[in-house]
Amino acid sequence: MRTLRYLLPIAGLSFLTGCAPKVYTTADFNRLKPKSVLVLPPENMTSNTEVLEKAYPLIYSQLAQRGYYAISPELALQLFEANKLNDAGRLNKLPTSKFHDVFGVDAVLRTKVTEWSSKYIVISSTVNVGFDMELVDAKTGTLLWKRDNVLSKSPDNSGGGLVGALVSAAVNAAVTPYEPIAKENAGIMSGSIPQGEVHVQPK
Amino acid sequence: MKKLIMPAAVMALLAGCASNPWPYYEGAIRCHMDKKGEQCNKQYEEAIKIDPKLQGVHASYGVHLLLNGKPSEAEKEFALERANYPQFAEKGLAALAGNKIQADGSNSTDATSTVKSVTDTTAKH
Repeated sequence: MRTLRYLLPIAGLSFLTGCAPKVYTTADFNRLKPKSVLVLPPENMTSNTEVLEKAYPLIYSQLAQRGYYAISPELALQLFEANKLNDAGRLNKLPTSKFHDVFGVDAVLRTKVTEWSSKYIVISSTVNVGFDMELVDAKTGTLLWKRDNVLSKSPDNSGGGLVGALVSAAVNAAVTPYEPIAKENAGIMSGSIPQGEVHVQPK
Repeated sequence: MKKLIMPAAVMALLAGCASNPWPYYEGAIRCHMDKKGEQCNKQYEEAIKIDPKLQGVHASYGVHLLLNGKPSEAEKEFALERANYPQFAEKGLAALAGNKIQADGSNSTDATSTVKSVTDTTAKH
């Protein structure tokens, strides 16, 4: 009985801790409160060649919709291209203070695309989109927020019996709609960045 | 009653889609990155029509117009971005202006010192 008296509060506490939403921001985020961000082109860690064109607009848009002024991707790409900085991996390694100097931004968002694939196993297909993101203070490079997440979705293969499911899975694997899953994943991830104050058109 | 509610719900849903500029803006960025030229203009303009103060969109459209040989129209877009977000847009646009991107999309070699400093740092890496 006495043991139970000690165990119960501990069990209650661990239950509550388990329920608490995970915090991805660092203490420096609240101290520095960034308002403007340069979203760097995502670094492609996969073998898919279309990742940049598909993922970059979505990552940019999801962050901007959190209420941060994000530098126009066209403007950023043009300046990078003009300076022969076409490689996202190279950009990710640059000191962030340079981006502060050129764009005047408070923070820089670096993204690595870790998964952009579909798996087709007999009658089912799964689409996986994974991002590894970090937001750093532009002046000092201090980490403000970091999160990685892989979102896996199975397009609906039902209907038409076994043959129908086989055909459907094969078709889904061939024409995989990555963008909605990438958008959802970018939305989930940037959703854990505190809401900013820059004008946002309601969704 | 149900007869009235259903069409109203559908209308509200459609109105919601039409009032969200982000899908148009995302599409425009993708279109620009795919180098589809003037085909992209409509998507930028649709996003701007829905929300003329949408962050970044005037800068984006300006760069797109500039690279498609419309420097004076581009300048108007840049001015709108500056007017909407003076505290955030100025520096990036100034760097772009200093970089002297030609109307045909090519770049001159006399980049500004700030942009050049990025290149210098990369060279050291």
